[in-house]
Amino acid sequence: MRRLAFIMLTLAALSPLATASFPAWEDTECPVCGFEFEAAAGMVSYTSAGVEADLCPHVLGAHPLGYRIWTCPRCRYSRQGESFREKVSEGLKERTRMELPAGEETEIRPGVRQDEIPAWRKYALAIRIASWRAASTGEMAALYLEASWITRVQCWLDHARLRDIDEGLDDRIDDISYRGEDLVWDATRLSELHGSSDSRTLEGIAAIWEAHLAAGLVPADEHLLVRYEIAYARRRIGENLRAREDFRALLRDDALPPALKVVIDAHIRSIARERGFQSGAVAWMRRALDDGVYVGIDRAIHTYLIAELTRRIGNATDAEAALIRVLQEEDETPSWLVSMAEGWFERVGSRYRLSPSRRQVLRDLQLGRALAALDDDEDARDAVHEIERLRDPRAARALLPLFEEGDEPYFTEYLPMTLSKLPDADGTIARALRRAAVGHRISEARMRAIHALAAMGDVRSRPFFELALSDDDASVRRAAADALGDMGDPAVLGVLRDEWRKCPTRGVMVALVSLGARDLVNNALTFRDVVSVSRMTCTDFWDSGRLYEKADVAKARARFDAWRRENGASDPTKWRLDGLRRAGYEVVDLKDAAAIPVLIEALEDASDSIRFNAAAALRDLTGEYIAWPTLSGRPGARDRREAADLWRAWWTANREKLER
Amino acid sequence: MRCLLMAVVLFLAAGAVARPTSPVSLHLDETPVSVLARMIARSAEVDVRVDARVAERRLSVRFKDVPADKALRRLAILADTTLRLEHGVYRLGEPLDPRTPLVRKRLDETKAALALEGDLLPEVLEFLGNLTGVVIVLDPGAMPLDKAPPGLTLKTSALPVSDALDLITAPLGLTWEVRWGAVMVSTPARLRILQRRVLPDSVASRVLELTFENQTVARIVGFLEEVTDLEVRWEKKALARAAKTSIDHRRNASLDLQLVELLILRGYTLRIVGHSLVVGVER
Repeated sequence: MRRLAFIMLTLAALSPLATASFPAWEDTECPVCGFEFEAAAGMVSYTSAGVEADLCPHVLGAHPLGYRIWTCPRCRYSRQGESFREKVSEGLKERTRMELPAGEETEIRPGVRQDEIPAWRKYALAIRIASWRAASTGEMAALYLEASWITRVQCWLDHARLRDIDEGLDDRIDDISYRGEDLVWDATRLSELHGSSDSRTLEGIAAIWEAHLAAGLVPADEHLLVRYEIAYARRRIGENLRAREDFRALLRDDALPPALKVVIDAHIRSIARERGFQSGAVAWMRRALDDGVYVGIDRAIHTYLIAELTRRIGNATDAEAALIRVLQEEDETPSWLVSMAEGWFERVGSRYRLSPSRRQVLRDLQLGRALAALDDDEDARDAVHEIERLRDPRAARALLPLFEEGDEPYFTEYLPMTLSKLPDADGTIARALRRAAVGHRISEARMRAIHALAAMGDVRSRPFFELALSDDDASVRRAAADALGDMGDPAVLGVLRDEWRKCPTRGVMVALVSLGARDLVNNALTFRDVVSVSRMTCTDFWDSGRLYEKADVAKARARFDAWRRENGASDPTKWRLDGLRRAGYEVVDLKDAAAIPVLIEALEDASDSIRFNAAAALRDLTGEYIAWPTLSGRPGARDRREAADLWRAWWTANREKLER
Repeated sequence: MRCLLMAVVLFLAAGAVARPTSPVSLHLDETPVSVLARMIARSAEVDVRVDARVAERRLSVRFKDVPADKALRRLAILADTTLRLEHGVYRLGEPLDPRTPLVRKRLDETKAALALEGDLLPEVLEFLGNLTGVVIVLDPGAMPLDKAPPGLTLKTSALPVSDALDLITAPLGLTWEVRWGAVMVSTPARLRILQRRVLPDSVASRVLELTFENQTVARIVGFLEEVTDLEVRWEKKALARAAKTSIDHRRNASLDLQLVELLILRGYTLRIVGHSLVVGVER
């Protein structure tokens, strides 16, 4: 395992070089038959391309595992490159000659280059020979594991057969693949915006094409190819059970092109091979664990690997049990592995429905770890993020004293929002934030507490916001005004108007405007008002930020007056929609179902940003994720229309309910 | 020689003193809080009491060389309860005073519209107390009576009295909690160190009207001892101080609240030992 750690560290350390790796060749001699051939002594220029959930490393360029095993092209003696030249016992030589007769594998013959022999074949031979020489359990486990990795990494070789058989079909699948990546690119932007963790490209491709198939967005003549693309994406990320199921379903389809049948047969064989290697790896790792081969971090890593490989093989119960062992081994488990294990659990845990008591054990351990980190100055910030992620209501007991009494600026700034996201059944958090909004000794904390309460939609906060309007600090007053405006309660207009007379801040102005006090807009006299309205409507009154001279201000004022003559009397909702067109849904705060038809029209807009903002606003406003338009530079303007049509159909079906 | 002997005695005594920073290591799953607390107590030689309502809650913990006080704090958070240190004893969870939810309910359900223009804090609290029928005690330690109390200017629409209390106290750096069936207003730090309810229910339920003018604390407590079946034992320092401290007092309230106002808020401590009430001095 240390070798694995070495490989991963090397890949990570060299990643900035960002150049494709390639093998460095050298001449060698087989210790069994004396045959001379050329083998890779090592790799030049590793560049990491990430690590999969089963710790399989990816690199840019040739994969080092493809060259790690040296196989004599004449006698087939195979072993890891670094120990290939070691002296071989006479017994082993004899057994190699007897049990690995020439001609068994057609890819292996004198004169063939090492990179022409499939890597899985070399590993299979190395495993047989390692078992003859009674290699250690640790070495056997490592060989099986690496064999499973390289089998999957090189599954593209199975797909590549298609180009030799039917180039036209291969081009069409390539086209679908590129379109899938485009869709994922768009979806990823949206999912990041909405806090989704599903941004992994291949999983995304499978999910998105499935959604398109279900929504009827895929033309009939592309159905089979898209289904193949979904199965192939799953194969590449090692979701082999689902991939095999998909491939078998395709084989049952009479319309399947013969060329694709050949490729799918190869994929199914390759899946069986990888699963065989994975089973071997799990069995040998279990033995090695029992033998005490792995200690400390190695033990935690291999326990995790057993969990992940078992899951991939399809034994969910064992995988879950092993995963929980990883999380429970806090003393030995490095934090990066804990993150991976927890990520694993998040992705697939819910599918297997943990028993309540096991879930509680996990939650206790996760919260306990976060609390321990909270005591450590260096890790405290990460701990806060972790607690936020866990959403465990018990955490409030730890966080509230930090916020109320701590002096660390980060906590006073960040904790209110974290606290606002925690479950608050008995109102303790809301009460603490309300008190902080008017009583915290640090003005930044008062302001943040107000923002957090506004985000929580806490209706009892209103008198606290009103009191905060007379705070000594302008930022607190502005936050309070914003929060009161956000409440959308016309009753606060009186308070805001009083405040506007006393201290006409931008926050008060925006709050008033958002509540529909358009008389203030019509009577706007100061430049500050212009700025307020421009923020509200996302209108660039001041000519792209030019405000250096008095003349610029005058011009801005003139533009504002023109805008006011045209729009001042209209409904502020219309201003918000205009704002959406100009800047983005985030700043215009749409909350009205009446905006939905306008947003649907905007899905077909020529501007990228408007389409994107409209899709995101629709998602926020409706809670639905019907369809999204593609962005520019990508093929498929047709998709924009289709997305809009799908939303229109949805709106027709739901309009009455939403407008009620 | 005497010094040496004293040093040896101190050294021996030190071994028995609580060591809240002694490291604790625990690696247990689904274990009752009472067992976890006992193991920490044994390992660090600290005294830990666990409230019955949290004792059976099962937790999974990983502590490796964690100071005992931190381990107890984490345990309290995981058990979703409180931890306080009282006379050298860590108390995990607090016994629920049956009056607390009733008082909180009354504060939440009674609404008040405030229109304050320079009104004094004690007067506003008294108004809210009369409105709700809940006794509101302003801790003199937090707001000395010999100084002019702050004036409040505030105008609100009708809001729950609990929110009104927050609105009034928070800007002054004060907070409030329901204790002994009443609302205690003080600073957060003072509220932490003030003792919790210590009297038996039979005593707490007695309502007496006490009117004293310039009487010593010792005499008032002596009177309480006479009119109840409560046996009061004084620590030496406390009695000396109580004999010298004179106070004016007028309050119609439950007996435990009278004692709180008389003693705890003036720096005394109350403990129940057997059937007696022991009065000491805050250290």
